[in-house]
Amino acid sequence: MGLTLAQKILAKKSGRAAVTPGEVIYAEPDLVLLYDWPGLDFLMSDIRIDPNKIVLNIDHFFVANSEESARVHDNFRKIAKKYGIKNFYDVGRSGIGFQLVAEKGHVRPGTLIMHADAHVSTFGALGAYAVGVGGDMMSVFLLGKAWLKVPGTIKVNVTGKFQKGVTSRDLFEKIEGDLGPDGGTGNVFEFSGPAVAAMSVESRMVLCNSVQYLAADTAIINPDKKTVAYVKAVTNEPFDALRSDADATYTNTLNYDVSSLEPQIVCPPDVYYIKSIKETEGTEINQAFIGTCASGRMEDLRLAARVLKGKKVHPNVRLLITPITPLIAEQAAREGLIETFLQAGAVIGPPTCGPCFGGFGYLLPGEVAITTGTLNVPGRMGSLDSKIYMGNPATVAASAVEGKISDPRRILNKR
Amino acid sequence: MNNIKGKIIWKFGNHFNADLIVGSKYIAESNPEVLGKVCLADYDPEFVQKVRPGDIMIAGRNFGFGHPHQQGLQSLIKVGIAGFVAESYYPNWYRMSVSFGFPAIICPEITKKADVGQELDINFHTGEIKNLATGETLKGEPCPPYLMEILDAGGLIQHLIKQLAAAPK
Repeated sequence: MGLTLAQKILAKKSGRAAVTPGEVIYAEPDLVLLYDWPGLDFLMSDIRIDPNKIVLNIDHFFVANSEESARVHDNFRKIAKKYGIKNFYDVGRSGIGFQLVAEKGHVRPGTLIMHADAHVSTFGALGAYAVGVGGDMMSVFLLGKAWLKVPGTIKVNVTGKFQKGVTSRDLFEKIEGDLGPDGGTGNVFEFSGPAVAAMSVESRMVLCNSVQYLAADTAIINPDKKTVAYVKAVTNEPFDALRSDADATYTNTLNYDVSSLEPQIVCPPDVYYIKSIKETEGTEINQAFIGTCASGRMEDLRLAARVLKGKKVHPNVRLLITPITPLIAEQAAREGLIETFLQAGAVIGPPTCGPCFGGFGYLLPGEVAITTGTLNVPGRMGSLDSKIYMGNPATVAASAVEGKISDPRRILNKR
Repeated sequence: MNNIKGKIIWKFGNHFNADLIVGSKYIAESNPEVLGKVCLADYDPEFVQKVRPGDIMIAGRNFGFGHPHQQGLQSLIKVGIAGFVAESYYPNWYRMSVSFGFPAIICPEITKKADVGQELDINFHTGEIKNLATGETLKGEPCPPYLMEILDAGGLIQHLIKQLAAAPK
């Protein structure tokens, strides 16, 4: 009987011929990742694995803004030096890890990747099994392995063509709203079909970014020509572009046609309160933010620029835009996108997670934000009595111009 | 691990965000004494007076959903919660429970077949959960052997210490 891509990778990395959903295995990752957050340095109290498997980066605090964050950074530098970790990306040479690590050629199809943070599922877009294991990273740094419960695989077959101003993020939110916060328990999502084949690698990364909010273990996409081209452009390391077998067993298969999909809005107070743009339009906002590991890539910035070109940010709104990595920032500058943003009245920030977890851009009680972030629980970006809505970069840009949550298709269809 | 026998002191609904056990104000608190004092205070200010070491808790689906911080779990451990039964867990929360050596078991019918005040007798090896108030035996999922090793060691760090001591230099 055939195996899904997820099961193939887990079998290979646990030294078995096959694995069965539900069984607990120990698996050995090829790539071990961590970012700067107080306490995560403790997980590297002792490292006994090959340092070449490890990639560390600075993204939560792009430069230290307190003694605590300065100490975390200092600890990361000391750890990198002590254990000979050559792939440490320090301030100015880093960016948000869930893009940077792929850009730098560390993510390869057919491999197993572990991080403390489950947003690492983003790298499933490149055909890797990328899973968050929290504090069990300590076991990874010491013994080179952690336990995993083998998941089943839910296949999501996507057809149709996205409308202007609708992105892979909206598809994800639609699935989140349909299945609810435990729609993926005990499973990984395998995205496939012609609409996924038509997506860029970047859009696939956005699609895979937040499947933890469905209680899924991770997401994965079978590698194709685009995947192989992306990876070969950034690394000479060999890889095995494993794919699901034609006769693999799936938990179930879901079908989505994106042709009539509208921009989706995540509403307060949690990530699974999803509404369509029609139901939320008109809500006044104070702050708008385009960035984070769920956005801030070239396609996102181009889309935001298409909305903002020749327009001004509404007088009542602060718009903040943070390209995801220095490379993306450079490319955005070359294409004139940064100029468009600045002329519109946006603040351009460094490549950091910052505002998504309240690092800066504090919201006062009663204030409302719309963001391309990853979480909207009360207090995430400031006061417990502020509200966070989330949407795609076109929606956030259009809302920043209008001063209220707005359908970006009205502006884009005139372009 | 021996059976865990205890009284149900609390019943959570579905998708309970475990950060709410201590409240957003305390999700960065590092002092376990403080975390023990604020356990479920937003829901019942008298809870810490009512709870007794050895009590257990039950929950509906997807317990621990969201971006669970360890403070919620530390708070439950500090007040002496001896075990947890839920219909399902959010993956990161379940992993954290194992790492902290906190016995958590899955039983898809627990909230229908048990309630606050009743006593349960839980066998983590077989997955059998006896409701001593009703006499009914419920079918839970046995704890996988690899995870039982971690629980028996008292948590991940103790388990790692044992493994490193046993490993050839």
